[in-house]
Amino acid sequence: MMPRAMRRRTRLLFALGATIAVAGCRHVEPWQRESLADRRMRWSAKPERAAAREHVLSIREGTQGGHGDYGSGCGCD
Amino acid sequence: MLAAPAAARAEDRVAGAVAVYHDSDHVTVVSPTLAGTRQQGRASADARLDLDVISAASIDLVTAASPAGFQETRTAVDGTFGYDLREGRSAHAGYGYSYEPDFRTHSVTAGGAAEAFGRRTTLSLDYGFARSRVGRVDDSAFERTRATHRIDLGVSHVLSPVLVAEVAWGVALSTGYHANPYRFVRLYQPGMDPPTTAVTETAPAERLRHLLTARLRARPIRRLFAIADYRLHLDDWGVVTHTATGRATFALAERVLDVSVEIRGYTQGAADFYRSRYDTFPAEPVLRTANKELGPMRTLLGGVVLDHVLYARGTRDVRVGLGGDWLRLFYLDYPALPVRTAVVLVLDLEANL
Repeated sequence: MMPRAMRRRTRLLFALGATIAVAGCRHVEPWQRESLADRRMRWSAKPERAAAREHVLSIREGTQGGHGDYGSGCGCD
Repeated sequence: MLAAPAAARAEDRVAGAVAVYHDSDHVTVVSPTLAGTRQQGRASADARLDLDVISAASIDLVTAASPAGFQETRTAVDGTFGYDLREGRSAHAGYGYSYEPDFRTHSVTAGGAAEAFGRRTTLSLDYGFARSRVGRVDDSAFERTRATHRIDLGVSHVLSPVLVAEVAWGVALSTGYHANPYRFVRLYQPGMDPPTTAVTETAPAERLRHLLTARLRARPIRRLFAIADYRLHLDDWGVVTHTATGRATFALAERVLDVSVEIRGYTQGAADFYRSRYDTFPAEPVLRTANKELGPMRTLLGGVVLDHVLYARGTRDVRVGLGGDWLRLFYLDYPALPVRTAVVLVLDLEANL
């Protein structure tokens, strides 16, 4: 028997998932994709700037070398 | 790698940027970048050149092999070829080469994306392989290798005209040399100071990582774009990290000036074999590291970016951007450097042709 707090969290997660699923059923016409095509909707609207930041963070944090950044010598350490 | 939205297509583009990194541990890196994209029919080609000009006298160097600090330059080139297979499918392949005097890497990537469910869902799959050679600038006989395989699977789904959700899973396996040949680990007699000796760093010969990402991208009102991103990293060294990022972009003047603000929080648990102090002398632990980035840590980042459109006509434009990040790193179990503060400034110029 799950504790009450866990049951509440589980219900909230199901409700969130159902909301997203229902929202996902909404049809999107091609002429409604203006926002989706906007560069400001991209995670990396400016790849060079994003890469500079990711390079710094991957060296300064413990996840370097795993996903797209293959590491470096001692220079930036 | 998260799947790009269906409407984001390659376009002719030239861009240059200069990033300057400086921190309170006396490390300065100047990084110019030059990139270009050319589209011809259904084919596209991307090329990029990166430089890192490094001046460093950090605590790691002063206590290790280079007490006077050092200067070094890293050069990296990348090229990618893409092809639109029509009917919402695309493929790409690329090659990269990175060089610095003590570290060289060759990497290849290949992947594809496909749209489904009336072009509302995009699936992407990417594979990457890299082989690195690690050396020492003061020892030409020293050479070790490392190989990394990675796979990334992503799904993005259009929930509404102004809302996109994405999830991705990536796995990376690297084998070979993972230590730093310039870093030495101090061994102490239990409870004694100063250290009795220092030995070379060692790390496991294998590292298996998983990266899970969830992201929402939205345009709640016409002049506001918002992105929320969460990442979970797990590996078999025991390093568990959580990253949460939020970004908001305001169109102050449509097609003239945008302002973006971003905040990022990061928390990391230590690798299983990390110790801030090894009180084991005369015994030498099989696995031992002096890498503070493998210890427990927190990072807080705040950033602001201004983007100004210098020229616009139809789909062509020329933009200039100026951004700044302030970074605060907390090393929770590294007494020699408990806190580090860094700033990163980036000036970029791009032309979409």
